[in-house]
Amino acid sequence: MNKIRCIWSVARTEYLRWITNPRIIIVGVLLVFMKTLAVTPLLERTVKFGEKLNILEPFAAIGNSGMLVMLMPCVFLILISDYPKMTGSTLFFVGRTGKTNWFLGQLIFLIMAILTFLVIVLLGSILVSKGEMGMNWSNTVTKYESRFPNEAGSFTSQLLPSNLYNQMSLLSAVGQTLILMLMYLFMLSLIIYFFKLIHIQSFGLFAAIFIVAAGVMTCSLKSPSMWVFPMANTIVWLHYEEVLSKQVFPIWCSYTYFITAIAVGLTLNTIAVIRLQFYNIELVE
Amino acid sequence: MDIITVNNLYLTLGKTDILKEINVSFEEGKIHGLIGRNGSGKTMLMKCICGFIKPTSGEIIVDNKRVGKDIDFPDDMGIIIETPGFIPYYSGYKNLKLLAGLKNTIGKQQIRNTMIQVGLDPDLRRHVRKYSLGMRQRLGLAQAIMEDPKILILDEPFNGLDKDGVKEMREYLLSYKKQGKTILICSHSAEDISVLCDSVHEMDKGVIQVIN
Repeated sequence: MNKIRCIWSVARTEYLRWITNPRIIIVGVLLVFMKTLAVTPLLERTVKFGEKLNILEPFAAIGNSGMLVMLMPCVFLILISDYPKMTGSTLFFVGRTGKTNWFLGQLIFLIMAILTFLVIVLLGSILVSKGEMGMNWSNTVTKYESRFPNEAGSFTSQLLPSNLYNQMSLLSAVGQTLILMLMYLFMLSLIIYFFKLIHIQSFGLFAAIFIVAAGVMTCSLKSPSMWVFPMANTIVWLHYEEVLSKQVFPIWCSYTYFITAIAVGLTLNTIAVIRLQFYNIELVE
Repeated sequence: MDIITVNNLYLTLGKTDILKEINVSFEEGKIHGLIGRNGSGKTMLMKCICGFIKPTSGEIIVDNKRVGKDIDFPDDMGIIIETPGFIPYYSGYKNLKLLAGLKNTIGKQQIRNTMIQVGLDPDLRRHVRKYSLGMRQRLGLAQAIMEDPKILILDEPFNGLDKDGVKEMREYLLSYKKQGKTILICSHSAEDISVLCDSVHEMDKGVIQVIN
């Protein structure tokens, strides 16, 4: 019982510290980008087509847009770049909870932070969607290109391509996007954590940004090596053909990819925590 | 009876020897002083005793338990190492309540009493980020003593305190000693050390020697 209280206390404290940090404002900037790059182009289509979107479609578009799948991890990395914090108060916590409980608290905090981040993105996209409730893809998404064939292949069409709406339901697309994005952010965060725990914090951020950038590059080139990086594994539509009921890259492989990467990350972090030494304490809380 | 024993301790970081062949014991129920210039290894020795740094070799026994082997961190130890850090957007009381909740051995009243004891108002709603250095130091001492530990490890506890604050703190530490507690204190002030300590050790370039 005491162990659970310790873990929860560490997680709650870190979370409150994270959510009240003025740096969280950067999420607002991301929301503006999301609106400009994904939601507004879709809304322009609703005007032209004369039918509303489903409220969940903008989120599916955000989670399947190469540009936004690059921006989201970058913003999140900025938000957690100095975690786990090792300040004067950390010594007071660790001395009372022990390293294991402290680290478990840090992991719970991380999951809470990622869920908050994704919920903000999801709610933000719902609020600006001006859409209607429903379980299915709207006609604006599925029939727009047949009515306006000259716009096929445009930037807006790429936001919600036929590879997505022909292959799965809207709820499945949103659900899978959320789960894959959660695993992607968790994996990147574990990289940040690991390098912080072994006292080379700046290298962690560099490594995480390199992984994001390499994913962006290989995805834009449509190189088969894109599946080595997490970005392609996060974008649901990349896994499917346009029309045929066939997968280009089985989606279960992407889940396996993330589960394996997270397991490796957790193992490395656990070893790092066992060996963790508190040489230098940050002065800024 | 010795409550802290350090045997043949070495600490090397990179190619630098931080602590060299440290053999020292600290008797229970006394105040022990540690003096030395900046970078002499005082804080590192304290961190090793607290379990925050694992030495390269040697052993540290606190209250009959080997630090880093039998236990990660000594159970019954209050610490102030370097500048005490707190959650900046919480009041002093809320910070202490949060820390006390981790061990759950004391209640609200004990937290309030400890704050009053060190000269802080538990009802003060001001956030810790607006505290003066002296107030932070007092709060640091409060978190160290609130659970009534057997051992106190204090690294420069008088930093930022005014004359009256130092006097009050000294009186408090002497009364704490009278309760049979052990205090290991590190200070730059020769007066603090001479007034408070039963034994004094000096550190120089990672080597320790008994002065008094």
